[in-house]
Amino acid sequence: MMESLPMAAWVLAIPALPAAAWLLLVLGGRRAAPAAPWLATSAAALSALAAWVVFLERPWEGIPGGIWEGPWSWGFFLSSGGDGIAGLRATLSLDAISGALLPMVGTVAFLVHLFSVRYMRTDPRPGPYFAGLALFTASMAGMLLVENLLFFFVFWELMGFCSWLLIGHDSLNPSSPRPEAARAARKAFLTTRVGDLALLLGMVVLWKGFGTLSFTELAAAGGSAGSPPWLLAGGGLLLLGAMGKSAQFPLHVWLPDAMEGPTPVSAMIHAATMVAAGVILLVRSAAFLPDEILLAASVVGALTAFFAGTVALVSADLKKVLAWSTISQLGFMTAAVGVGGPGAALFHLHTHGFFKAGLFLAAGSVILACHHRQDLGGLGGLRRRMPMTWVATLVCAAALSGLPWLSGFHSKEAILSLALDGAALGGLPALTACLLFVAAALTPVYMFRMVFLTFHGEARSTEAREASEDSWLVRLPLAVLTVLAVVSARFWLFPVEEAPASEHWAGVLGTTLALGGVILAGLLFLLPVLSPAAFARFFGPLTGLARERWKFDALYAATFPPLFRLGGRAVDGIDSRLVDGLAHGIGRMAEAGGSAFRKLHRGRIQTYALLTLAGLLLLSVTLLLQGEAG
Amino acid sequence: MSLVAYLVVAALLMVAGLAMVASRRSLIHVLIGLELVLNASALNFVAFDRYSGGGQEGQLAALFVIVVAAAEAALGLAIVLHAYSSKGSIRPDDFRSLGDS
Repeated sequence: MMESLPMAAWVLAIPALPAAAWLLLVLGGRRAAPAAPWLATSAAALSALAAWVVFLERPWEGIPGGIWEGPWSWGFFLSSGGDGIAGLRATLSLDAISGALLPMVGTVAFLVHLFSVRYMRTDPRPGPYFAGLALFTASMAGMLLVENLLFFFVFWELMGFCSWLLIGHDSLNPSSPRPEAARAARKAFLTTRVGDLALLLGMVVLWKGFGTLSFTELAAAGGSAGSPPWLLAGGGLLLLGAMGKSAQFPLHVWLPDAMEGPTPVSAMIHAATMVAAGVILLVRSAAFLPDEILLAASVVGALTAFFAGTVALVSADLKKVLAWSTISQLGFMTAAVGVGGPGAALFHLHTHGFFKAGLFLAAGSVILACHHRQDLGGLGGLRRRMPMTWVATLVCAAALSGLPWLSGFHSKEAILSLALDGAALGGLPALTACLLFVAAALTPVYMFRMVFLTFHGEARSTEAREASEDSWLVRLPLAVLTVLAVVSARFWLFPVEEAPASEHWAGVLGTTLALGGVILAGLLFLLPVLSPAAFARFFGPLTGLARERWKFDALYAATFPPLFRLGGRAVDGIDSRLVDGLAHGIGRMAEAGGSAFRKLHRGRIQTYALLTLAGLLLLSVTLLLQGEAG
Repeated sequence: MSLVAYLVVAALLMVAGLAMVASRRSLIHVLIGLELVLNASALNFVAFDRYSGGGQEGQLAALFVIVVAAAEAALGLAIVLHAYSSKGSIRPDDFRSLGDS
């Protein structure tokens, strides 16, 4: 215990420092606002440093069970015995999963903070912004450092709250409030809420079934439980929760709209925090999820990866392309858990975190330089004016496309080979593998379409013609993330499942598809060899379908509001008929009684005297009888 | 003569007084009824005093009742006089302005 105390201090510092920064900023209010950017950024920097120290020390290795536990723990419901209810204990615990992911989370969060110092310089409300960012960082670190589903859920909800705050940040700008941002924040909050409710119910089912919510104990109990109906239900609810958080079909609608938030926030949500939570939940529960649920996860993930890729192909907005690509990549991760590769899913989450953060910060740099112009139609030719941004985008896009030697290649190949391995079973696994390969082929096309339309060709607006790259605060994060996008596969320590039979084929096929995609994008958007319009016509109605995001938003807009209105009317009916009726009925009864008794009050003194007499008589007789009885 | 005889007379007086209060058509008669009720209670006091042996508390209470009755009669007659001068009637049924409609 003595020698583990310094380690405990390092581990605790990871979530505690950003949390302390958040507390200071919230308590300080307006007075703390000028110090907010650097306070939050230095807290994030120290937190990232602590994460790297912990990563290099690896305290969980050599401990039986592979979980390092801090010297503190807090039992829920302490009254039921000194240590609280077993299975509901909060501990500071570190295992290979958290140890492997914390450096990525810390680094990306720190770089996002640093970038925000410049990006939000003119923002009138830096205090709330950086407070939200700090709490976001703290919640994500906290979520990785707990071993119990209940406390995992607490941090999960905190992240939902932070994303609501930050997506809607611009809606409260005093000089130019943007109601769209508030709407997007509400949409994100409510859509993920559907998943959160499912997760909460799933937790109840698991608690009923297993009597514990500790991930380790669940994994130990789940292996021998088979798949009774209640475990199917609980696992399905858990999967639904992860789908909501990780923006999987059909709960994906919130993520593209979340682009209304400031761009560094998008980097934070898409790379290091929020959407990662769903994947981490699936990975942590993969050990006790029944096979049917895993199969469902693989199909949902593959479908999402494919369909989000098609929408990314036709998006006209720089950030929207990135948003849809995130959904697509999250589909890869979900499918990876489904095909039996939680390690591969985490690996992809790790590499994706770096290059997606790089892409978003590069997009932020473009938006900053072009004065908030972000439609692909109005950009172009930025290559010479913004070389650092161009290089960063190019490298990160190549990594995302899975080109060889870059980090994304290794992680995506791991997923694809596992999927290919499963495809031999035929049926749904084969469909999953097919969809994943198609999605992998779509990735380079939409990524390089974005790169070519933004940085190559002619500048298509005055803003793009006059753009120039910003200070080191913008360039430094981009440079760091560019390097990490190349090398991040080298410092991954969690074991990745291997599929020796298909590894070779998946690598060859994946590389071919990626290169083919880049060439196709080049022919379409860089060299005027193929016409994009003719290409769009070739796919006919499919293009239209993709442009309308496969009509999901329209479908939800057409179904849910009327449904809710119907439900509301029913509840209103119950309220005004039954509840109000009951209350009014009681009132009316009192009124009727009153008017009945009014008839006695005619003002005749002698009647009153008689009544008094009768009352007196009654009283005396009663007392007399009672006296006799007693 | 036993206590019961006194009590019977007092009870008869009481009932007669109450019947007058409840039924007579003149406020003066109502007042007379009230006097009867008071005197019935005074008779009870004296009777109980006589038969409970020793002490003069009952007789004192009877004197007290007579004083209260005198005060009541004075007040009651004043009210009746005022009622007559304001309404020109002393029938109890003519005074119902506190009643409901």
